[in-house]
Amino acid sequence: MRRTVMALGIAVSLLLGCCLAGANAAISKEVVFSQDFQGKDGKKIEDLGWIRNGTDEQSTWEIKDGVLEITCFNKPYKGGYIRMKVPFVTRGEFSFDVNINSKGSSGYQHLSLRVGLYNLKTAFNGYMKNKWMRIFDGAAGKDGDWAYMSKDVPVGKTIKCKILFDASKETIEYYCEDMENPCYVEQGVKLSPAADGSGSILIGNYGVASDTIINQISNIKLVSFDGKPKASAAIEQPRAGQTTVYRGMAFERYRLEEMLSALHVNNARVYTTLVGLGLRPVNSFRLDRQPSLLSSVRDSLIIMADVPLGPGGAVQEALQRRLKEDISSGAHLVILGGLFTLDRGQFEGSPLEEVLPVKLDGIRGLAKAPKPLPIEDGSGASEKVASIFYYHDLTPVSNACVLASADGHPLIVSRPFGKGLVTVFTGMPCGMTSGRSQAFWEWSGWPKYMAQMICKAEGSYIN
Amino acid sequence: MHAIHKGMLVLAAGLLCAGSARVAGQTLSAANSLVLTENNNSIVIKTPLYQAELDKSKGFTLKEMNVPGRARVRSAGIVLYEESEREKYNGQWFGTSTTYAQSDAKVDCKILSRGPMQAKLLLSWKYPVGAVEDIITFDANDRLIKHNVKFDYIKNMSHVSFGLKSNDLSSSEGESVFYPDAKRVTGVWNTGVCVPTPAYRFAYNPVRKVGFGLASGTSEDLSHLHYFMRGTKEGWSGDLTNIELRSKSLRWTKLPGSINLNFAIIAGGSPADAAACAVNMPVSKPVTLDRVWPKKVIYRLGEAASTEVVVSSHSNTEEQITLVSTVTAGVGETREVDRRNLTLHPKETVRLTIPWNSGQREYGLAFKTEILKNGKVIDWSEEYTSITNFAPKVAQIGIMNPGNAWQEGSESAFIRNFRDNYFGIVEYYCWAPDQVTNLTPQTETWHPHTESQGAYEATLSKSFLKTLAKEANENGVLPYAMVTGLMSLYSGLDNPELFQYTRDGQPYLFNGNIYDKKRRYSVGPANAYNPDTVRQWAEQMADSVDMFGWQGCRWDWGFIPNVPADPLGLDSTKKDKFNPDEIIWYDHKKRSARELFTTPDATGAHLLRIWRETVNKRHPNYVYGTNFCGAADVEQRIPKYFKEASTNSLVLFEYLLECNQERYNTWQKWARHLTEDCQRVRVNGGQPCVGFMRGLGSGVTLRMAQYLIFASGVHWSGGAGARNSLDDTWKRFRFALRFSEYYYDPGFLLLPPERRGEVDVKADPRVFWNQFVYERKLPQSRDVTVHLLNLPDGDYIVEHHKEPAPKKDITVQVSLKPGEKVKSASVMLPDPAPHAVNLKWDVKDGTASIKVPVLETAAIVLVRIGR
Repeated sequence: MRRTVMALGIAVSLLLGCCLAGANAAISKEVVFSQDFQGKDGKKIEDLGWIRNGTDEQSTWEIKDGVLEITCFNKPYKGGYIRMKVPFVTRGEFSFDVNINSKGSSGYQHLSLRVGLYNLKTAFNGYMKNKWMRIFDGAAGKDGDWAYMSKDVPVGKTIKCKILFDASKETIEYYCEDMENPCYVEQGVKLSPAADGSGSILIGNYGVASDTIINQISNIKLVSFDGKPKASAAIEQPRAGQTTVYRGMAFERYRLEEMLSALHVNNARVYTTLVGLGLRPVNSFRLDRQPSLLSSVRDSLIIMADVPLGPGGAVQEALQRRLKEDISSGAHLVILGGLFTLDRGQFEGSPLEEVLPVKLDGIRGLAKAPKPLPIEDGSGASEKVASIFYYHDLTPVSNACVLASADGHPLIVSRPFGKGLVTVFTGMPCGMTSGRSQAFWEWSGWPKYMAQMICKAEGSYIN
Repeated sequence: MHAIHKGMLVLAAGLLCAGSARVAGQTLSAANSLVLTENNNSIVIKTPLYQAELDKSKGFTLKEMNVPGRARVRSAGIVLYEESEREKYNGQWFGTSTTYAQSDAKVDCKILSRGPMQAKLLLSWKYPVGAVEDIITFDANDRLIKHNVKFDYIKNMSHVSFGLKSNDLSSSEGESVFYPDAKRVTGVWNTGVCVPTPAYRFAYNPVRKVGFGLASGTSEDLSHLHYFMRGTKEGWSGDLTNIELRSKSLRWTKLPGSINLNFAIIAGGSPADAAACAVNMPVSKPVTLDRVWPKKVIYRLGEAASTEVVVSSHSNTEEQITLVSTVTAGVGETREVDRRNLTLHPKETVRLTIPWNSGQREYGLAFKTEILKNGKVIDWSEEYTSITNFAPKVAQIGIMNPGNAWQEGSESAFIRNFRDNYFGIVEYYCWAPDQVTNLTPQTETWHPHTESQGAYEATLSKSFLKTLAKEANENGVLPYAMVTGLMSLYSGLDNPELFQYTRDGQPYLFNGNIYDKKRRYSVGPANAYNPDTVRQWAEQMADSVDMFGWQGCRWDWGFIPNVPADPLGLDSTKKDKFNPDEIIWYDHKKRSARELFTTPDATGAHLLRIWRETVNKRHPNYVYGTNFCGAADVEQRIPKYFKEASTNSLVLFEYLLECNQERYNTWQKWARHLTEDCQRVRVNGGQPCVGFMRGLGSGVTLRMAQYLIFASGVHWSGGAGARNSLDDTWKRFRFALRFSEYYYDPGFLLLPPERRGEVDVKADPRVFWNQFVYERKLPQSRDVTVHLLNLPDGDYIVEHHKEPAPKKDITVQVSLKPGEKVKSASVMLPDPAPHAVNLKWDVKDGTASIKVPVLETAAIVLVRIGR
């Protein structure tokens, strides 16, 4: 029966994946500017269409070995630059390869290379560790005007940088080395063109570093996503079956890797909740990395194991809205309970509250089962009984389906949302094995059991 | 280890070139001559005894020295350390020295001479701090590679060093040792042992029969040799042997300055070859006392004690001597503890263990051994120890934590450093698997909660902690466990009722981090505020004492329900950060702590009393210690807890350590806060310490800060450099130990303001005394103590200070009540070693005047007044 359920589950996942493929329009990409300097050794930068501002005393620009080598002298805020006019695109991707302080000068202790797009100016700063930071045109330049996208950019080797943006959503994502996960995401920022609607790419020398710094740049590219979506098979399809796991506070007890293995999921994206210092009784959480909000690839399965949405903006509202979009488009969100999530995880009043199959009505006291609640394990009788000791005492919403109960208490509850599903496991990984009552997470069958329940939820609704 | 003694082995200047290291009786040939070759990368000197390669790309420093048997030895060359003490106070601690290594310099090399018997090189280079010249002499049949270094400096400097390192002298068996002692001296991190120069140390592997060393000359500009080994045997990875020569402190020399260092690398050979470098100076004494070393820093009352005594004969005939050992407590209370006759054979060295009983006289004492020959004292030596059943009365406190101390096999090296420096208590910080639920780990290794918000991870073993505590106890350096009320996330998941909860219904977490895919070191304050939980907790602590041998604890938490998790939150200066409404937590039933604990002060005091009584029932000598705020407003806010926590306990005034901040940044301001808060706990028998002290450099700031802390009645909590290094903390700690009674006896209370006029000191304005006038009432008399500090010119603590000139013409005046008379007057002085001098006094118009002859650094004047 288990294999039948598993096979059904896989088929359902594939079906969901195809639904995703249909639901997402393939994004149209057009390269509107590209410069790679290959085969152009010895040419002047102006010959390639760049407008140069500044003299050789400020900075020199030499194309050699297929890269643009910029010698940046110490000329504070007057280091010279080059500029290339490019169309303004609302949605797109700007990328470049860069080798900061390629000759390893010991005087790289401040702002040197700047790379800008439209009104967004990024810079590399070698004070302490090499940082990638940004400021918008018109800002006074005070501390608060700068944002730090990465505080540990490698020096002396070529790395890739990418800026993904959607001006209509006021969202910009920055990528450094890791092109899959942004190192920084910001919202509410206004990317804008010049008054005539055009824009430019700017590469310059901030000139504040105390020594002469040699930086290299190559493979500059601006890609527009503004075109109409294309329906042909050649257009990029969402990756069917992408799974994302959010590891909250008690994630180890859930044995997520085994669960994913039982679901035949490889290469899940994993984000982990981190804890900030709590000098007073207010927790502070954040994710170790931010998922992209602009990625065209949607999740088909999302697992949140004891994840708090806050305090501290652990799962920011923009990400919650994105998750809701993923669910509406066909993803399956699975929430595993715990002391830090659901009614205790600032879900109430959040964008994600709407999708839950259980009602939230304030913070309850700790619900300890008067006696351990047995989980039906489906594998037959055993000496020990997998049990729940603590749980979320929550009521299913009207269109929810109770997939499993423990001594009459709704244990696994699921509901549809848009084209997707949301399933909640109301148990908490708390308590200790005692006598015949075995903590459910210590039960050997737990990962497979939960995997089966996930598939069962998907099977129930497809049917 | 280094008692006061007369006569040492020294290196005679010219004898660095002595033929004692030569291979005798050989005629000149290619086989026994010196060959110097030069290529683009290096200069190579090959002799029949060794081959040394100097690296051109690294300032002509030693890249590799190969001796038969192979030990790869290298050097960074001469390293210059710029002064790290800031000229002017700027609110920051002192940092570390900027260093200028020869290996990074542009070095010019001239070959002064090259021949089959000798070659000489002149290396010269410049740095912004000054210029260095080094003449290196290689002799064909001599293992000594001689250096003659001149450093002309134009900036404020700390010191200069030259060191040798090897990473393959020992195998994992750790068989190598240092000569002349033939002992394996291990180091922890980069701290080993220092011996004053002139000296040599030769690192030798007796299995492979290979070694190398450094020998100092008689240059007065040299200070000490620093050396250690560490390897797998001591719980480290790899193998490291390090020998380094250091100059004297250049801190207070005039600019421009110049020093000369002459020393030699010992290139291979046997220990006997190395010993030939050292020559006995003609010794005027036939017998010398080489070492007097009490086993423990702290003995209990009536404990069987012992002192190691080493006596050497330099005579060619048999010597009959008498050894007399005495202990002196207080000021001049001397009793003889041992007398024995000894016959020494010619050139014999005898090691003895002198047993004695600690007696009933509390506080510090001097153990002195004299050698008598024909009834006359021909040599003597003295060391210091202490007697008490309550260690906080006499001890300075050292700290260890799993971030820097976990290596099985290194325990004795850690404790040696504390013992050498006269620390009496060592606290092990952040050690338990769970500070609330698991003080008796059932596994051999575990990951303890770490400080710094879990910024680093650590693994501790039961074996390490047990051995550490055993070594500590055997040396009278009492091991204390740090305890907190921070429970691990895992314990809380097992017992969710034990968590404190936030307003959001989440367990309140203090910190945590991810290591090795596990949420390690995540902890949160426990809701342990009920008698049953506290009793269980205390029973666990008592079990932990049985398991490890702790002698006490230092809480980094409090039993009061409604205060911040961090004890520094009690500090009134931080009150604004903690709105009382913001520190409310909830239990698992959503009841606020404010509802549950309506009298937090009384609750805290009650629970603390339960905890202490429960542990002390099973371990009566166990000492309670705690992080604590002794300020007046805290006593007003939580009087019951204040009294309970400071009664016969060790209290850490962590909130007072910041003598770099505005509130405490002058000697006078800091002293006022320290003395006043000390007095508040002293009446309850509390012994305060301040720390973790750091960033005070190793000059006048450090020296005066330590004396000021002691004079305030407070103990030091922090670290110290190796004994005999540039950090001479050990000198101040031995003084504080010897005369601990006059710093720390709770009977000494500050004269109240209305009586301050009874004592006056006529002295230079830079003699700081008026914060430190105390009186102790005795049955038939009273003691008045006045602590004198010779302050430098500047009042800011954390800035560079010149050494203040000694102060003379000091008169202490004490008013006598009708019928009173002075019974005795004395001054206790730290230099050159702790000693007391009886003083004379005059009485006129009811005022006794006592002249203090000279004040170099600090002094304690004691006037006993009776009827």
